Amino acid sequence: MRKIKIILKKYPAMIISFIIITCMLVCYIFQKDKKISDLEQRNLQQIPHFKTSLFASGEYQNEYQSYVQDQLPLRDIFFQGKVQFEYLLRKRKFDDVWIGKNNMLFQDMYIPTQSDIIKRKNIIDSFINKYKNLHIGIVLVNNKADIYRENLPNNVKFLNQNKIINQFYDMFKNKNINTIRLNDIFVSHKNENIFYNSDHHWTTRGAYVAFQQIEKEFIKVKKSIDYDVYIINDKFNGSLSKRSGYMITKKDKVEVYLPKSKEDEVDVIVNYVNQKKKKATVFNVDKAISSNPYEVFLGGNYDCIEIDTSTKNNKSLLLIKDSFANCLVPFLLPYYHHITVIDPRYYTDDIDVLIKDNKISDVLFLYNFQTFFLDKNILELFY
Amino acid sequence: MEFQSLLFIIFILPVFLFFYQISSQKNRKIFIIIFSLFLYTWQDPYSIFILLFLLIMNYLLIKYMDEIDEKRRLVDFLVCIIMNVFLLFYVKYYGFVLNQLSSIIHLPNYHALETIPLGISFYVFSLLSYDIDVYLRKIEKEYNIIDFAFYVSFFPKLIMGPIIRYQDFKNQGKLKNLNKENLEKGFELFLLGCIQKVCIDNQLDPIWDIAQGTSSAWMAWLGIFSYTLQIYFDFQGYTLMAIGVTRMIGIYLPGNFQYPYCATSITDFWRRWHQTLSFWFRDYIYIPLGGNRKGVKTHIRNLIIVWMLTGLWHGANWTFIAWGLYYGVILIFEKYIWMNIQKKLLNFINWFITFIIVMIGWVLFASSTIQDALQYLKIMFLGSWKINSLFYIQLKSSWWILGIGFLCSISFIHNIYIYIKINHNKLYIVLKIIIICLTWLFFFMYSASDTMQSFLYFQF
Repeated sequence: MRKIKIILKKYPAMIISFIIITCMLVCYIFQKDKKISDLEQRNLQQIPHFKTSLFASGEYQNEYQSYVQDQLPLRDIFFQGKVQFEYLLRKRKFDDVWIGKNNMLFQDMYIPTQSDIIKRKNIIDSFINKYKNLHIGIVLVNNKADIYRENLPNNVKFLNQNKIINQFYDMFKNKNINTIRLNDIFVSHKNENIFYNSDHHWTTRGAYVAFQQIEKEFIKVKKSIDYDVYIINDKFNGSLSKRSGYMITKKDKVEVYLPKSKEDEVDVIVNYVNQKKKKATVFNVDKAISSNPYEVFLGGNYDCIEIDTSTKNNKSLLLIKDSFANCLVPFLLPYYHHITVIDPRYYTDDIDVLIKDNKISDVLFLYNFQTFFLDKNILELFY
Repeated sequence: MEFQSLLFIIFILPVFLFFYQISSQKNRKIFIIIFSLFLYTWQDPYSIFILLFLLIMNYLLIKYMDEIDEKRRLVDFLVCIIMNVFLLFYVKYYGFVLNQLSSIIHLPNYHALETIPLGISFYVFSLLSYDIDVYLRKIEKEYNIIDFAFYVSFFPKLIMGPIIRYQDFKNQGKLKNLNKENLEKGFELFLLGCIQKVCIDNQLDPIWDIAQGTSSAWMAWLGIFSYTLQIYFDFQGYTLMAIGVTRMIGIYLPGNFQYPYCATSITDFWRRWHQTLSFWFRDYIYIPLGGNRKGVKTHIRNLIIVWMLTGLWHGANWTFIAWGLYYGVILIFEKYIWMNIQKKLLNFINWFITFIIVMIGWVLFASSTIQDALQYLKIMFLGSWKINSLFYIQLKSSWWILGIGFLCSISFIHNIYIYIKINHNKLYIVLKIIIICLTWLFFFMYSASDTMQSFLYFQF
């Protein structure tokens, strides 16, 4: 022992490095390669297969380097340790995520240019002019940072989304489109956890608050349905937390709203068109205990989903949306006989044929501000 | 393969040390040559042919250089030099020159290499120094190709230097067995370089990018201050890691930096910054041109030539040429006008002026075009002096790394460390163990986050 102590005193760099490298080497050799990172929700690099062409292009070397990096023993702990260390030193932005006050995480905001706004205005305009007989609505959801400004880190200023949404809506005055504003109702409900702290999405509560406004202004049929709220996951660690590596102390809860009364329940057949699978529910309960329980709603993002409901009317809705709409869809079921849900980020088929074939009567655009102005796929949808 | 990568530290380094130790003394050089060529091929598979071509051609041309007839000897020597310079010019500057010409005159379709072979500027300069020294009969020519290949391809210095002379390398003698003293010192240096690269350089990286396009003078100064530290720790970190690896096997490589940001004049700065390159230009260009011994006009001409070439060595871009000329002009001004005033000023003021001049120089160096550099300089001096949120947020999140980096760069922390080592031995040992453990912890923390950047100096 005394001898070890003397050697350690004399050669600390060599001894410590030798121990650490040996331990790491042993761990690398004997640990089983991980396939998925729960923390970052991505596939981890597996050991690449050697090919001369890959080696010559440098791809093999890059993959091998990534493999060693991805399979680092205790990787998640080291990663989170780094983030916590830098947070202590007052760093507040990790990747594109801001660590706000009260344990709230915010994604960095994209500032749309005038051209972004005009391009989207023209697309909607041409759609309205083409389908004058359809009942059309648009909901642009303010992002979390617009509602919870007081929780942004000190001196971080984001653009006023509400102002831009209002300007955008004003371009459609006296036109055949319902522009649904959520800002005021969100502000009045901001104490009710309408957004996840660790994720960029709204909560089911937030979607329900928005739905009430949609029911009033777009659907215009009042069905007083009471809901029971079930918590399906109380340890949700959302995408913002995963991306930044910052673990918030109080985990988010994912809730599902189900009608209290049996009479208000709606039978459905959910058809994932291109995946060729059908289900009798809009909830994918398997995902409740997965690393992304938000995928409980509709099972995640798909290009085209067709939902037949037991609702007795002739109304057929086309919902053009991003992932925010996923947890709002269950609230729409009692109002439509048929709902077609398309996500332009993945949908490539002809939308005119779809409108004709599905005898669409109503069209609703539902997007969060960021995706609507950032994602270019919506521009290509109508060409 | 970068020294600070997990692949190198956990897998390659132990394998290298193990096989080094078990190979017989006779075969060690061959083992290192094969290992070096493998590492080079791993990083840049196609460029290995250029490296091998230059290695073999330089060896043969110098080996068979005429020893009796001086005229033929000169011809042999010039063929060798022209071959090296031509190849360096072709892979590094040909595209740039044609690009410039095509904006003046119409050129038919031309083809230039898209990527520059890794480390070509470094190993061509090593080869040139060998060729010139042999021609000038300063050193004996090398007949043993193993020894010559060992010098040229030795992996720690191959890609980013230091540019060591052949004689200095050969004087190291035989390759010894691993021993505790060398391993201790080697790991110490390696870890010191690693922490500089991983923790300081990588953390400073985003600030300069964020400062681009700012209208705030504060942010512009913060951006260039950050870049000033970043480029130092990037290069110094690599050099220390390279010296550390070689020290593990008992080879001594010269350092490249002597706390350059402590310099109190630009002459002093260049005695401390990238020393092996500065000495190369001094010994092989500046002094042969006459140095400062042939009158003022020749001296000024020599300074301009040397500094333009120094700029050009860093890359085929007008910004590098401007950066080199910037230093040329400042050194002329310093030597002929400023030196007398400088003597009367306080050391601190001289240091401050030098530091500002160096920071302004880095604007030219780091910008993509001259226009970008001028625009950035305009913001630095004529931009808004109102503190905006971008500056506040950047400063708040990176004050600690800028502070630590600055104190390390001016030797403040090193001096404290030495003071403790001399006066408080027990505390020194505890401190050393803590620093080593923390270095490893930080290394794994930052390796896990996938944010490591490549070396800035790899491109040269």
